[in-house]
Amino acid sequence: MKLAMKRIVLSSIASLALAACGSGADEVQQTGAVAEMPDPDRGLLPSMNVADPTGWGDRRPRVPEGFTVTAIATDMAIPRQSIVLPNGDILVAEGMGGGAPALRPKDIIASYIKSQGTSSVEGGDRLTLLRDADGDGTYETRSIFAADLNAPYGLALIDDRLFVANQDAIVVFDYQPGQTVASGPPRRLAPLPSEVNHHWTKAMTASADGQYLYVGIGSNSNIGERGMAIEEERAMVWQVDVATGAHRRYATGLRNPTALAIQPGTGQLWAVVNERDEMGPDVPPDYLTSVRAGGFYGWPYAYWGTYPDRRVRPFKEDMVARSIRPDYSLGAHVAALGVDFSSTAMGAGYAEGVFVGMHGSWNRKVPVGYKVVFVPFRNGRPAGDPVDFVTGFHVDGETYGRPVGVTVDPAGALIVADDLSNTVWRITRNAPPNLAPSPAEMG
Amino acid sequence: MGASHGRVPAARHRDRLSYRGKTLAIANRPARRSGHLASVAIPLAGLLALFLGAFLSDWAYYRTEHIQWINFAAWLNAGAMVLTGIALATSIIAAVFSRRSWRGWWLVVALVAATFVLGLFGAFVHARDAFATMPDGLVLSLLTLAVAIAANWAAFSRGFRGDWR
Repeated sequence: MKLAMKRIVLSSIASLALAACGSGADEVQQTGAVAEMPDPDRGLLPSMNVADPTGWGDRRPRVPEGFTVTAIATDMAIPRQSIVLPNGDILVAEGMGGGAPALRPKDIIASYIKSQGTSSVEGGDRLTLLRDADGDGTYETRSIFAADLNAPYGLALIDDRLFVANQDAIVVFDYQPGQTVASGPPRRLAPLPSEVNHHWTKAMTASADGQYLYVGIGSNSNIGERGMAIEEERAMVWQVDVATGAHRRYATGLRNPTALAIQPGTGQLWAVVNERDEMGPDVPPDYLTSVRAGGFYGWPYAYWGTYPDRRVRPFKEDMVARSIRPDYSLGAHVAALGVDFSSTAMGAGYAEGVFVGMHGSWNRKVPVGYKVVFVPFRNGRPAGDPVDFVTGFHVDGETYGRPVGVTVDPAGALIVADDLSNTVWRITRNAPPNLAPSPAEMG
Repeated sequence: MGASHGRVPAARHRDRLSYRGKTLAIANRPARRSGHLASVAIPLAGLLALFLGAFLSDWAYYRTEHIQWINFAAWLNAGAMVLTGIALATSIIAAVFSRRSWRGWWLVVALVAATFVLGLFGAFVHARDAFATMPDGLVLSLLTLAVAIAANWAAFSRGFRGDWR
């Protein structure tokens, strides 16, 4: 006992001394199929650098040569995710969920600091419909399709039914093409895990055959510091039967799967996932991955495959070996919140791959994310470095916007929801797009 | 520590003004200065209990890995820090304004300040998630407790008898 205590004291002094040295974070992070992770490096105090919100004024996000960006809707109420309906109308989910009570003294301080980097507008708890009837690029009609929802996030249309993932349940509206307002209150299809709701967003997309909904349910903590009992149905993707509302666990160990998309052609489910905090500026990466049925992706016991995270106790050694390494690193703390597959309508350079919306970091001295990137695919797999597609959200310490959901409009445009400036951006090709057949659309 | 029973046990304390039969003055003095002393004594005694609780909670977490213990430890440490901050302020005031300078006050101030610094480190370490708090949190709790005991000892064994009015 005496010896053990002495050993503890020595190792503790050493680690505190190390912690005081701090960390040198830079802007360049490993992306793609990273083989080796840098060592964790947290420091005594975690680095925090939250966005300093500033109005856009005459500024605009930057887009590549040959594209134009337009604000098609402003003064929204925390727009998050969107879908493009078959007639070209855009539905935008607006809301702000969560609100878990402070568990420790730290939570009071951290939540105050983080709130400085977000919009002060109240979440709308609604769906807004945007319509460009004459196709001139101006969305002249705007209506509230449905109100009184509960922090809606994931959206999916299957035939004539519109599914909305509130923070506590999947609800269903009947939908007829051309509708601008829902015909009535929604029906409840299935409850979703909502106790505490530390990560409240419920990402959702429909399977290619329209039989299932996939729902991303984030963890209830960073790495299990609320105990593991409350993580029972968290950090996983559910597969929900559209007919009955019954669910099964499709894949687990995904800390916060914030956006889901089905790959056109293959029907494969893909996700972007936000990884854990407080391991330093470059560990572990947020990622893009194909989601294997029955797969376990590590949380909370391991990250990036089989790197153990021994902050979690009681620790389960056998879970580390089971952990699947994700396909593609997007960089640590970029906070990927949107993903959608591109189509040929986006032009030759962007025809095959995914767009990823990055909300931007708070847990890092040098900010990263705050942009939309394009991850090129070849033969159905990610191939090559991510390419900046929409930038200019964070310039010289000022933050003008924070991208969330991204949706590819089959007409040849990218819809980007920005929950800081409460704007919906639309990025279009300047040349008239080819009339390519549109791939299956997803939320 | 029987100073208030009328019969003063002679001049064992140099801060006692008189031993020539002027016991009334001594008997009166605690009433006049007790408010000031209490402003140091109450937080000083209280922080000891809270730091002790924090240490025991840390120890329980280290042994059991049951997450709720580390939440207790973090809050107990936070509560202790509130009292330590108050004790630091009031003991500095006491050291500066005590009528006859008793250099022992500055020892109290130094020990309370050391408690504060260690407790602050402890708060930072307890802000880590789950077992990332260990073993640093446990070690810091123990060190903080030790220094808090020393601060109490320095104050209660001498200062509160004394010469502050």
